Amino acid sequence: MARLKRLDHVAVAVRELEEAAQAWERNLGLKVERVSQPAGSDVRLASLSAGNAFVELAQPLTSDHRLAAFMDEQGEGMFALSIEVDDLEAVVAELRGRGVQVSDPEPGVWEGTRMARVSRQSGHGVAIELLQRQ
Amino acid sequence: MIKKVHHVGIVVRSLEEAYRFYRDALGLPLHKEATVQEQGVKAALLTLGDCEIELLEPIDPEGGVARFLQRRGEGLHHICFETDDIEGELAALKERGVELIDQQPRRGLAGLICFLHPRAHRGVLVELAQPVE
Repeated sequence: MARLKRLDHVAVAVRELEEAAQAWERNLGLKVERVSQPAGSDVRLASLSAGNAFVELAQPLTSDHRLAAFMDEQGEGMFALSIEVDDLEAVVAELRGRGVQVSDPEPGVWEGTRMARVSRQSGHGVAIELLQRQ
Repeated sequence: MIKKVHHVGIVVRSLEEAYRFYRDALGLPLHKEATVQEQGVKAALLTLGDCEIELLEPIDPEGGVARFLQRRGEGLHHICFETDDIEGELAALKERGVELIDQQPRRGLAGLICFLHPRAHRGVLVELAQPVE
């Protein structure tokens, strides 16, 4: 069976990246590893290390971004789990074989990554990203 | 000090239904299942690498998890970090004026636990846990 390796990160939608990052750093001692706007994206990301996984804060830069729509509906908060896999194609094929709705693999926001999305409906309300790092 | 993400908590309508996706389709092994009366839930821990996915099914219609389900539907509920000194963490958080739900550690599925108020982290409910043998 194709394997899910590990939790890569928990994605959190925020309106003010710096302010949110400071709270996580000050309260819990999570270190901000990097803040950047991936090329070609309209989102700013801050990755905070929690040892075995990251908390990734994401601030959308346009009002029609899907994260902006998420926050309009639910407010700021966790919106996705990103799970690292060894073989994205194999995992996607296997999940589809079990009736799970998964998008076609596409390049991820970070260079050298590819990802596919499991539908929120299949994931019991959780958006799950399957991530392969090269 | 925070050592790692211990688990991510997800509210579901029914553990049995959610197992079909998280255990059977994703293939995550079921590690533990228990009823936690004080939190009004049936909870299950499934292993994902070196952390876990916690599924929460409300059993008390007046409880916080039942209200979450009613208001927002199934979905991500909280993130839990492991520490080896929950008393020390709580004391430091109080000193910094961080809003808490639990003023003292209490027994939970993951060991000694406490919850911070979601306002402290922009809408994210954070739990701290110190596993006990």
